[in-house]
Amino acid sequence: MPGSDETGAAEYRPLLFSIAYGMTGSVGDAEDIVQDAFLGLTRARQAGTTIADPKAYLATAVTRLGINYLGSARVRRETYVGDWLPEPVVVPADGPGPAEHAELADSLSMAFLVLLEARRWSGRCSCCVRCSGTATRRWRGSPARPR
Amino acid sequence: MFGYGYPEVARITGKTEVNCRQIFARARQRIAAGGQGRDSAPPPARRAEGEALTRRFFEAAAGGDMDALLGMLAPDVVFHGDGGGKAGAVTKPLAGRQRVMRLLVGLLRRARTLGASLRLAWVNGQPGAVMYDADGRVIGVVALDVAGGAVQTIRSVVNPDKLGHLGPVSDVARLPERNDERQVDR
Repeated sequence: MPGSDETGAAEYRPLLFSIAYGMTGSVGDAEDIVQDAFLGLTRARQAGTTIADPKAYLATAVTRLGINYLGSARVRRETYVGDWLPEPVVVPADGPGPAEHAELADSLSMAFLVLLEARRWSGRCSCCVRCSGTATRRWRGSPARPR
Repeated sequence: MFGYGYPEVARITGKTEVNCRQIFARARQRIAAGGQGRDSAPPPARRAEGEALTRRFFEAAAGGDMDALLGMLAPDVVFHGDGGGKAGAVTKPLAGRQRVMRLLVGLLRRARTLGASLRLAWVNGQPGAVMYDADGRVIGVVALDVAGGAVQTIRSVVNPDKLGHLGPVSDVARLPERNDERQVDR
């Protein structure tokens, strides 16, 4: 992976992936988000910024990028057909394989990720209620229609 | 959960520390209420039990042993399928041993005619399998929730968009594009 080793923060990659994957439920998008965060760290240092705590810096960056992703993906999820399940993180049972994300997958079961996805929906619902409340107040404040 | 304390989590998420504690406590309660709490066995034993049952489950599936398969399903087993409107899958969760069994019989018959094969795997830390077509391309991933000596939940991901990171994706389950649009309107 380019851009990760020279930052001296590659050890945080599994942690960052687990945050991004927990937020997106997508392996590819989570890897992209982590990569963007590392890129941001490199750029900030090149610009002369001193980053005392790269772990906190990267975790914050990943969280913010994840929130942006959810904002954009929400539209796609709205029309999702049928049940939503996360992209599976797979480790072959027999012999060695691509065990990149093996250790973190244990804490991110499919049921847990579906639960997080449901929480996002409930958050959105409360937002809808708030929005519709404002609309009602505005409507009440408007002059009565001639009848 | 990721080795961060509440003050750190609060700083990252921009919420108050009290709020973070509350969110985490609620999430934990909901997970416990969601069925994982019903099995009191310690995690390593539960893991071994899940692995052994999953192995028998997929062996029975591959061998067409329907009686053995039926015996391993919990009475209130639930089947979740994610096709994303792009591959054939149930669009609503299917509950109950008989209904899930009927679905499995159909799926296995289809898999046999396609020359599909199963390979056991850990899926998000849970026992499961990856299904391949005759050319070795990925058809889908199945994960099982095992508790109390039976399969409680089956989750099947066949949406081709969610399998690309596992290798070449098969198109045997892919739906025609026009089907896609019709289902989105639903």
